[in-house]
Amino acid sequence: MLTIGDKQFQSRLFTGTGKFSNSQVMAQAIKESGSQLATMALKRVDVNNQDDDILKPLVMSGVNLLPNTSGAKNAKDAIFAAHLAREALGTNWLKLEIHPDPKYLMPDPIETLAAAEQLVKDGFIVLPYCHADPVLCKRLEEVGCHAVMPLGAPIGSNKGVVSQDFLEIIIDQAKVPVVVDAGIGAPSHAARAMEMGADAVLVNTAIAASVNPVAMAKAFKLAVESGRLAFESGLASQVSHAVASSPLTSFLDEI
Amino acid sequence: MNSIQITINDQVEHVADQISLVHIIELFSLPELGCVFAINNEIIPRSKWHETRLNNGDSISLFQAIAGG
Repeated sequence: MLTIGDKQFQSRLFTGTGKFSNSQVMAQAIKESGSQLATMALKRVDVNNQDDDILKPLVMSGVNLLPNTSGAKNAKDAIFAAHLAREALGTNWLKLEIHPDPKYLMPDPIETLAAAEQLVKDGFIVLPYCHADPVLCKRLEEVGCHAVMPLGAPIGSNKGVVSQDFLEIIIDQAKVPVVVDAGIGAPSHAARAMEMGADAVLVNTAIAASVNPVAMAKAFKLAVESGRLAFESGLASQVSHAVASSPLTSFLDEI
Repeated sequence: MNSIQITINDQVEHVADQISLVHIIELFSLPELGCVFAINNEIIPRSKWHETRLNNGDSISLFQAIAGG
């Protein structure tokens, strides 16, 4: 069982709600994924042109909500967005994300650390999206973040766990849960992250932008469970030469 | 009754002086679920929507939870 802050999770698959074709598919996919934590964003309402209500199906499904600070370009924006989100959704859980550059969406480490420190003091359960930087993750933990969410690859890139070597260091050092966020494009990537000992993964695009998001959600559920079980079972070690699995007796020579 | 000029997400509107935020929501059919209002960049808790009254020149920002990763 995974514990973050005051909540326990049976599912180690966290999901995003963006990019689905409609809210019914989104709600069905999240249900099928077994996820107990789903991200949401916040935006200024266009008074004359209001969006689909996606909140109702999510609330009805019972999933915990994790509002993000997407759109924030610095710590000040993110702190304001966090307080807006807490009031709008009635939760003090927060995915802190600050990425000023729209091309690569790289998280700004300096602004993220500053915002995290303040938001922890303001009573938030802070899960910061950050680069796979072991030093930064340690600093985020030290200011009181309840988990760290280093990236596997750029947001929406589907490239997988390209930051593997650094994630391994982060997982080794962390005293808070490590959630691999961003870049996971296939169930095998999610399984890989879980085999490495990640506590959870956060997946959005790979499910939402697939041909059959509901079935893909299930594929991710199974992969995350499989990867976790493999980690808990202790993977056999790799060697650079062959080691026979069957006894190499010479009985054929004796015929 | 005096009329005042306010903005709702940068859209200029004329409303009655001292109208409450709750009345503004009704008047413009604004969404409520998953919503948060800020007046002049100060967040208004849901519990204060009834007692919060608008003055000339106030700028209302309305934010809503939407899908996102």
